Amino acid sequence: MKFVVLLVPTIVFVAITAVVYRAYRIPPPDRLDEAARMQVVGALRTAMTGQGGAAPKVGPVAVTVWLNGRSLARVDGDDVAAAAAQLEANTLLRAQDLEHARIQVDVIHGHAPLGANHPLVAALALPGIGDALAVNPGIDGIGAQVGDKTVRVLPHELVASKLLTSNHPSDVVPDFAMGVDLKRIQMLVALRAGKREPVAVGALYRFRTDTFVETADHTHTVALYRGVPPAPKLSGAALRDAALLGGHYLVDHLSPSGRYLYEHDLVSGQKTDPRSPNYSMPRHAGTTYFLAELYRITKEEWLREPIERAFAHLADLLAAGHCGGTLPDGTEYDCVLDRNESVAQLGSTALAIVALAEYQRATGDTRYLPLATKLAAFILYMQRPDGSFRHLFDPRKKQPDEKAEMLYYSGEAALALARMHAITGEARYSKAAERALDWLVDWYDFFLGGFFYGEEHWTCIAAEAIWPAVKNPKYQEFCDGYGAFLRAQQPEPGELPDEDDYVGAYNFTPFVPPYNTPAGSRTGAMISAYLLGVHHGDPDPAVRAQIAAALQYALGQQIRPDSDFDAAGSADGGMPGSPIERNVRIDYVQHVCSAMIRASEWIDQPAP
Amino acid sequence: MRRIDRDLRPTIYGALDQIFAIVYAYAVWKVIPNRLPSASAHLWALPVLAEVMALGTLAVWVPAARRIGWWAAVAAGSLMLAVTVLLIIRVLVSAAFLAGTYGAFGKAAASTAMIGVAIVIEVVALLPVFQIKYLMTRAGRRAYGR
Repeated sequence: MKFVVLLVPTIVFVAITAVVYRAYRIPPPDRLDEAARMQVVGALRTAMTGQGGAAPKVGPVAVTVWLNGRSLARVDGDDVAAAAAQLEANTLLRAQDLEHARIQVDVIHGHAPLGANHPLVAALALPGIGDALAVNPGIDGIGAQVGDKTVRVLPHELVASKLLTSNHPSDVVPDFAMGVDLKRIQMLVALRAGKREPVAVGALYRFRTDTFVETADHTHTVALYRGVPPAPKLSGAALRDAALLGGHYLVDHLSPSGRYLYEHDLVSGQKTDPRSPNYSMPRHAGTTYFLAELYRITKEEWLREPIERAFAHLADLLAAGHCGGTLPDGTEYDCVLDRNESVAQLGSTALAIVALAEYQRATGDTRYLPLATKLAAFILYMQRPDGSFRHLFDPRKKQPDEKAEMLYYSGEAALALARMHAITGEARYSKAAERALDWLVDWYDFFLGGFFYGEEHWTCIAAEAIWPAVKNPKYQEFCDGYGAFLRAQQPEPGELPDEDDYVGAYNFTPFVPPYNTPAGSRTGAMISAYLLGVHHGDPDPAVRAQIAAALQYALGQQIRPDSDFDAAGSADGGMPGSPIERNVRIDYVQHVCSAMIRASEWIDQPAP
Repeated sequence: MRRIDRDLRPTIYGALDQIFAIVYAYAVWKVIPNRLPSASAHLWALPVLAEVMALGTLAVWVPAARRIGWWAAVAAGSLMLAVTVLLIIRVLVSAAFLAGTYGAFGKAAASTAMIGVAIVIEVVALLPVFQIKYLMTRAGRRAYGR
């Protein structure tokens, strides 16, 4: 009896857990096979051209017709025939360029409570969880029965509405946003139902979909998961193609002035005006560095003129920026300062050097060496005797800021010095790079420093770049340790059963989709860590597998002809911010495609 | 001369209860304030119940209040344990909700939840467990004239 009494709490705990889990769980639906999908799409396409015909029965569906990345038509039906009838009735559709339109079908599955709609969750869940984390983003849709009308907001529509990460859980920190904005979703559903008053949260429910879309030539379909088709298989050729596609994206997004179109919204097709103050010079320089790197490795001539155009913009800024001067010893220096900036940032100048050096490495052309030397004089001036750097510089007062600490800048400066050594062979650069790396690596030399790493990707890239001038084994140890730290954030196949599309990405929990850029920037660091191991004769196979997993993930995320059906504007080669952030910024492409092209050189070779 | 053996445990437990009540109150008020009424009530139950346990236990010094003090301490301690169980249930419900919605809970979230439950047991449950155990013993009853 006593034993049974002792078991009571456990039984209660297990029972409550099971009841809540069962209520909320919608298992991933079985996918239709290609033949069935083609039947569905065929029936819908026939209807779209005004002809009726037989339609297969697969259950409730939602159909979206895409043209040039924008939704041309969107219908719901209890079955394919009902949806087809609505498309057939839409005579305006026939005036459109249907040959280039692509049909997306969402077969609706499952029905589960949304957020705190279940009484146990409403009464007992920890505060905020039921509301903020109500939806698996990009996977769950939200539906409601409003009067006699069934309203469904599809997973991709929730993504496009930008309501999945716009919840503000705290009035104290108004800028902090995380999770679903249920209030605005209530209004969105109401508007879909033709109402002006928000639909009650209790009326909303979650559903899942088996989603597929036609290929551009209409001969096949591709299954989508979180809006993304299956990734190309990882290989050197696939990585090279993807990196070149990224290069095309950036060249297409480079204005005649040599300034990039900084951001591209894939939902609206809107691109940043290059004259806008919304710009980052470190990212301008970093992006140009990637194009030069791509040129060095691929020798594609179409890259050369845009690279020189982007450099010309830098030269214009240097000429107008009044950032340069003469040091007490008579050395001339210069630094990058954007038009609207009054303080020079170390990272802008450091990455400009990296880009100029990369161009010289690629072409052998030394025309930018004098400029790079003046910029490098600035980096050397900003370095303290202990190897650390001042990160900001006031050009009017000719005074560095001794206090400001910015993310990345020290690692970028170390890389700039390493690259200067590579193109000049001068020992002053290698010694300065070594001092910088020693400071960066030794910073962690305290008890708690053994438990974590910051964003050290530039550090590891610089540590490899300075080889063989500096052969310090502690750099390899540091970067392999950084790799192990990052691997703990990298899901493995089967680890998150519904979220195998996150495999290889870097994310902290299954509740927050990973950002795509770290799959590039951290992989760039891991490539350097791996190569550092190769140089030392002791490459880490775990790092190699980590690189492969991250690049496989990144290949899937890139916008390409398979997946550009819902991307407005010319976006092939672009890298969205995350699986649910439909926005491309130039540095997202830079980081990911840089890792791709570097790995493409050796990924097919057996491990040494 | 005859030596008087006074049981010090009620005083020690009473003092601990008082300290915990103050620490809980400060933590709920200043460190982890919660704007949601249900969560706030749940959290404020901890200092209130700890204070009742303290007053009941220290009633050992007031002969006329010993019997009622014993009952108050046992009842408040038992409620404190119930509150602990409820806290654990809240963590489990949240975890089950997230696992149901996302198909997984993840290592980091699972570790955090386990650590959370362990801390709740350590910080909230241990004191009432030991104190009730003592109060229910013959020595505990005798100290309160039962």
